[in-house]
Amino acid sequence: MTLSLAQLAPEEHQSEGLGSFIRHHLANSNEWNLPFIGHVHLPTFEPITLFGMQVDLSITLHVVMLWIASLFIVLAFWLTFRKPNPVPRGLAAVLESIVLFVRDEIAIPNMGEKHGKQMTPFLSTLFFFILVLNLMGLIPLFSTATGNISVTAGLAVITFIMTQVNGMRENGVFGYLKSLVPHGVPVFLFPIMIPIEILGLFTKPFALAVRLFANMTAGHTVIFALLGLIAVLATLFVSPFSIGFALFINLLELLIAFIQAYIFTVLSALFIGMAMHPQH
Amino acid sequence: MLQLDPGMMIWTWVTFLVLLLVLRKVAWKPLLKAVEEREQQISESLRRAVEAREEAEKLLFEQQEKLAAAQEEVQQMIKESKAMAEKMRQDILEKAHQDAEKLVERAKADIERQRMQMINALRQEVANLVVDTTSKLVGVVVDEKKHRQIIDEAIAQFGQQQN
Repeated sequence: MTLSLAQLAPEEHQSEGLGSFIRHHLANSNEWNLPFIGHVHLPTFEPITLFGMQVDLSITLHVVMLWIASLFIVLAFWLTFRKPNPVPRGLAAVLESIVLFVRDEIAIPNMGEKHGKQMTPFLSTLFFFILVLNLMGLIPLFSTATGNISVTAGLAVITFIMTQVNGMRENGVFGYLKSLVPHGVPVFLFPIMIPIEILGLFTKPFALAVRLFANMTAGHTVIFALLGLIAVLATLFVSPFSIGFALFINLLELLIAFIQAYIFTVLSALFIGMAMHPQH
Repeated sequence: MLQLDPGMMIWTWVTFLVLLLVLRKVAWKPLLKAVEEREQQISESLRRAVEAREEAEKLLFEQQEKLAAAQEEVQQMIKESKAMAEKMRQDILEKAHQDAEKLVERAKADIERQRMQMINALRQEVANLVVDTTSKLVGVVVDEKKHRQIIDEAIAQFGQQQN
């Protein structure tokens, strides 16, 4: 009644521990393991040099996940809103209520009526993109792209750029930079305040990126660790506990997938709104 | 694990941008347009419903007022016609009474006059008879004028005695 790591992990990890096994499963890779088909090798390109950096534009597993998520979202919306229907039913009603939630509860309270409506498409896209990526991570055979720090950093950079662009467009470049330092701060504190505020500009998207990445990675790590206990302890008696807890964490992750997509969207709306209306 | 991969970031940006542009065309525009149209429609029909109700209430109030006025008028008319009828009845009665009285009066006068005529005629007859008879008895007419006077006096006395 023993189960060795060899049966659970691919052969090349036989000699390594549980930690590296988990890391391997969470990491990006150049192949996709599918049942019956086996290892699908994804196209790799030679790294190109861009602005003095080595950039590897290979189509990795997480890039494929991004595309599948995008395709899924586009298909879902295209199929439901192909024909205009004054009274939405089924999936159309669900999607519409989510978009209206983004508009009425996230965009408009943070940016005001006019800008909120303008920014609803951006925020809705962000929300659905992150949500579908998060949920895909819970489906077997798919990988969690939002558990990759590069993906979350990319999304955070988009929010950062939107924040700066909208802040400058709304208040003018100089007005925006001036509004970074709060009102009523004595002039002699400026040497301290200005670096702090500039630092704050970058910590916000940094926190966004790390929060999403950490939340998505943590749940998967715990699930893998719980399941790995069976192999590490080499007994099947622990499996009811492992599987029970893993199921619990999985359900928790389902909740977290929604919460993190919501939080990312809300904070993006908040940052953009703050840059647009610095008084509030 | 925590190393940033620029290629992955670029793919994220590209994918997100394409997704945003495609969804803008496929989803957000039709969806948000439909939603806004519906919201407008709802507020419009709500507004219209309120207007219609106000209109209906106004009409109802007007009708009620008209009805009340008509009833008032009818009551007034009934009262007036009753009063008129009463007055007419009184007039007719009055006139009838007067007519009746006049008739009686006239009849009475006629009767009196006829009685007087008959009495006078009777007197004349009696006087003539007396004169005739007397002249036959006496044979001569002494003085017709004087005689007649005496007879008339006698008849008058007779009449007084009779009365």
